[in-house]
Amino acid sequence: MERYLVVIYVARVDNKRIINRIARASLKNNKTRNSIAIIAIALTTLLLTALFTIGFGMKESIELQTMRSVGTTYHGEFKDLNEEKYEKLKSHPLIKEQGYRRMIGSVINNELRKEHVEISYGDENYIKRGFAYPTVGRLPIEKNEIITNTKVLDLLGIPHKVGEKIHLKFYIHDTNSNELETIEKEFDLVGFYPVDPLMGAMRIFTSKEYAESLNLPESNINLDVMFSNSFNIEKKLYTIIIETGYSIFQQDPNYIATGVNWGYMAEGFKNSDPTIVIGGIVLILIIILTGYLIIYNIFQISVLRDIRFYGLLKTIGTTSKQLKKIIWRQAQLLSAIGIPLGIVLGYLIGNLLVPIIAKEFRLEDFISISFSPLIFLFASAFSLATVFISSRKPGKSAGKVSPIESIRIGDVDELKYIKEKKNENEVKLSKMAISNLSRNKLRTIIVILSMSISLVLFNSIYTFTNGFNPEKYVNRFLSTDFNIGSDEYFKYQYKGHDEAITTDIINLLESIEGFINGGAIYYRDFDGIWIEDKNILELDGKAPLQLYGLDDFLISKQQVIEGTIDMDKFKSGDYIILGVNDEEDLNLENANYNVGDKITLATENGSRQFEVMALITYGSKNSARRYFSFKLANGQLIKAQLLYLPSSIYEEIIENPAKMVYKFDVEDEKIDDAEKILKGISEDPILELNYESKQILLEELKGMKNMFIIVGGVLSFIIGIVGIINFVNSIITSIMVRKKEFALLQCIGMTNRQLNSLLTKEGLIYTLSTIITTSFFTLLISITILKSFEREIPFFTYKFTVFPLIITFPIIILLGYIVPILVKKVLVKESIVERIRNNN
Amino acid sequence: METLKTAGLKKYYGENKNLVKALDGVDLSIKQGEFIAIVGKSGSGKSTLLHMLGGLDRLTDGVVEIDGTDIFKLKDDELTIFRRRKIGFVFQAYNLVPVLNVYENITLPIALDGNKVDKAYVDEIFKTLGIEDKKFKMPNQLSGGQQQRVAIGRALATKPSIILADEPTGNLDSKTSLDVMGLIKVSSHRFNQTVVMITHNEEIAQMADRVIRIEDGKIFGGDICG
Repeated sequence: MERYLVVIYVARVDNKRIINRIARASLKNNKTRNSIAIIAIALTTLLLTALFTIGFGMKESIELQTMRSVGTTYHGEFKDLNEEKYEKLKSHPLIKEQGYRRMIGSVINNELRKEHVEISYGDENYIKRGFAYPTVGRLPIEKNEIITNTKVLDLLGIPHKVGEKIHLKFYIHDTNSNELETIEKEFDLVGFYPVDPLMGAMRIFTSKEYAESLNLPESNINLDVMFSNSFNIEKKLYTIIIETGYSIFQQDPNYIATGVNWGYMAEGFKNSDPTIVIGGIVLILIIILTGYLIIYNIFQISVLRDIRFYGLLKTIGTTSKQLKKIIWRQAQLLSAIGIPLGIVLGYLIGNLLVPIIAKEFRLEDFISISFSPLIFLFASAFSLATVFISSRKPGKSAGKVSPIESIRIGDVDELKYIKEKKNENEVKLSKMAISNLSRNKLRTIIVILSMSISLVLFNSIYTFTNGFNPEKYVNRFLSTDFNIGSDEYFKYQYKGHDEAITTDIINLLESIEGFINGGAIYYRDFDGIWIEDKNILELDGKAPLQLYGLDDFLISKQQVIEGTIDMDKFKSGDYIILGVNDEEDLNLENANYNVGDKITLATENGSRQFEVMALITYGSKNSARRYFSFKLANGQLIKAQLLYLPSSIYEEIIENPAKMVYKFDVEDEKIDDAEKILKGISEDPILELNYESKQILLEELKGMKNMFIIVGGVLSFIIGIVGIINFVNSIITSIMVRKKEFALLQCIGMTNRQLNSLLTKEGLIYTLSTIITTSFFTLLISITILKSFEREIPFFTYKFTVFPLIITFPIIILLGYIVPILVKKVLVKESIVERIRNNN
Repeated sequence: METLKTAGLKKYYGENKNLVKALDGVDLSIKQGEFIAIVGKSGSGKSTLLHMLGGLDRLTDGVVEIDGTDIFKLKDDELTIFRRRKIGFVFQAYNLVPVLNVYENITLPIALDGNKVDKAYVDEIFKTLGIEDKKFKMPNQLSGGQQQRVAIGRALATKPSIILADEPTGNLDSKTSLDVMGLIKVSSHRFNQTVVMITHNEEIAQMADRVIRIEDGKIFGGDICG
């Protein structure tokens, strides 16, 4: 006993080197297996790396894009502070970095009328994080110095040169945008930076000295802050406010408003679509499962093939633990080649795809090809974990081998039939094929499923891209070829007459060659009309509304949800139409009335009753794009009802009606000419008009379809490859383990032809099962999920199709026919005698 | 009447220095109904001889005639068909197709030939071998001895000209071995079958009608009757 222990002890000392040597020696003897294993490991890593690269790349691109449109990379902001609040908040320990900005007002030079241009002072920190640090020149110091971006300079017609004089007209406003004072002054340009097309507002920064020289309202300081990380930004902002002794409730006098930079996804995560997150996790799991299946099979087969070798090792004193280590060591050595290979390829593929995806989200200027080491770390870790779990059971099998058993084991897939098979008929090859496939039911099912998944996905993606309907999407925003309105309207600042369309303009538009028909929407803010509704006591029974008038042409263009619009009845003056928000979904909650309800409008000339004729959707195509609501003292929010009348009736009720926009259609072949005319009108500085064109919107959406095709195609392709590899691997496995059985069958009289026929039948059962499974799930998904997309996705129209399946099924059948024979030809080269002798 | 005849049977492996003469000029003649045991040490060439007799491997030189057919003149698939009609095999282990039940295993060569099973004959085989109650069992549900009986049954099923058995009792304990040997002998007499069996066990060999010794690829001590 003592001696035995000593032996073990000695063995342990040299353990590692020996295990390494055995593992390496064993690797040398299994060249084919090694190649397959390396390919499998590399593929697993490749898929993971590509997935992570795309994921990270998109996340960073979207974050950066959002931050640019927000205008800063700060985590959050305290708004409208006075000096005292600012001083108190800024020293809170949670704040790691901060920036200071003092709002001055809005620039109103006529050349800048189509843009929203802010003028303010920001400290160096604020400017650096605000994508506004001058690339040429320096920050403003003297009273008359400013910096801005190249677009503002272009609009003002000023060359990109430090030292240029800039004449600005701007007004100072308070935190509620009330104009306090208008100032005109000439400044010196001391620096500028390239324009960021994503940025919502243009900015001009003055020196601190200048800002302090103005008579600014008290509470116009913003404090932007960075925390140690981007989790729970809102909560951190609130914590600071409360701990500093202020309130986060609007009704309190010491309330402080905050803003969270929604560019940070960790913050936006809770609002983000869970399907993306779940989809990502499912994809990772599919990849790991696939990798597992392939790698596991490879190792399990090789262990069972080398079972005598392991039996021998065990006989001469190798422990189970050491045998396990030998297998794991082999797996590690193979991973050392497979994983780096997969990472390089996956990274390349991922980065080829990111720009394509990014382009369609118009992120091309901000693609961050992520070099994050996290990608490689995650991909390697997941792959290695996959290899580890895959080699665990084979390792165990090797460890369990007893030298005597190792000689007896003949069949790798040890069969354990419990029931008798009551058959007394001659064996048929087809039945034998079925029996063979049920040897390892799990493997068969997984192979069938993995092939089916890729086909179902392929068909689904095709159906999706095939149903891509930009018209439908554009129609939500624009129901006519053109929509013309004031600059103010397109800046969401339309109020009434000052920004209305004149009859002259409408006459001009109607004279455009190819003009078919058109109409105006009438609207003004605060037209002195309300709905009489006794339920709303707080507002003295006056429910708020936004009333629109529609010309005949536009009445027919509305999207009716309930009821029907009877033109004659509608124009009689006894009926009204109610708008329902369709921006997110058909949310009926914000409509207080239904078809058939009576609405009494109180006007300056007395009350007038209408019956609701229909509910229509409202959105940017048929509203002022600003929606009013009133907050009652108890916190309840009363939303203004959007009501529509025929323009003739509208004009009876509203004194001095104003035409908000004019929408019209043009003959297709004249659209380009009309487009040019409208462009000319919009560029005329006196008219102050702008327009939207359906054609331009459609152009912009075209690329999106290509993105779906490319990304979906790549995804189907990868999953398809995985499915085929699984299938081939399964065939390889099933043939490798039956080499001896085939020899036996040949001995007792199965001809080569019969053997091939048996294998072909097995392959065809695989593929036919795949076809049946695929057809079932394709139909199921098509008529449930895909069909439901029609309602949820604004640019998708459901069209049933199985075209991709019709194309791919013959290929699949061919694979089922060819692969088994090919694999047998490649793998079964030994003569019958050699195979019979082996292990016999 | 001669069922099997060989002349100048040679099987060499390798070349030049590494040349191994597994069989080096074997002449044999076996009559219908004989029960022959071929004995030899391991490496003596006895397994190679059996494989050659069954047409499982190609010869280096010589002739093997079964029922008057020179089997190596046949093409691969013709040889296979010939084999399933004229030769029955029993191996040391791994004789049965694991996904088929006992009945299916026994009748497999008939099914492969596309013929109807002679039920009465098969029933007789079952009875003779004492495995009537095992008809629907799967191979993994049988003991080693039972599996060998099924293998013998399959070898008999096509009424072949000759049964070739390669150490049929090699994996069995001594009692079962004797049982199985008894069955081979009984059934070969019953169905008037010619049996050529390889063994390294002298005791088992003594149960044969005739023992042929082989050494270094040559028949040694020839026709000694048991």
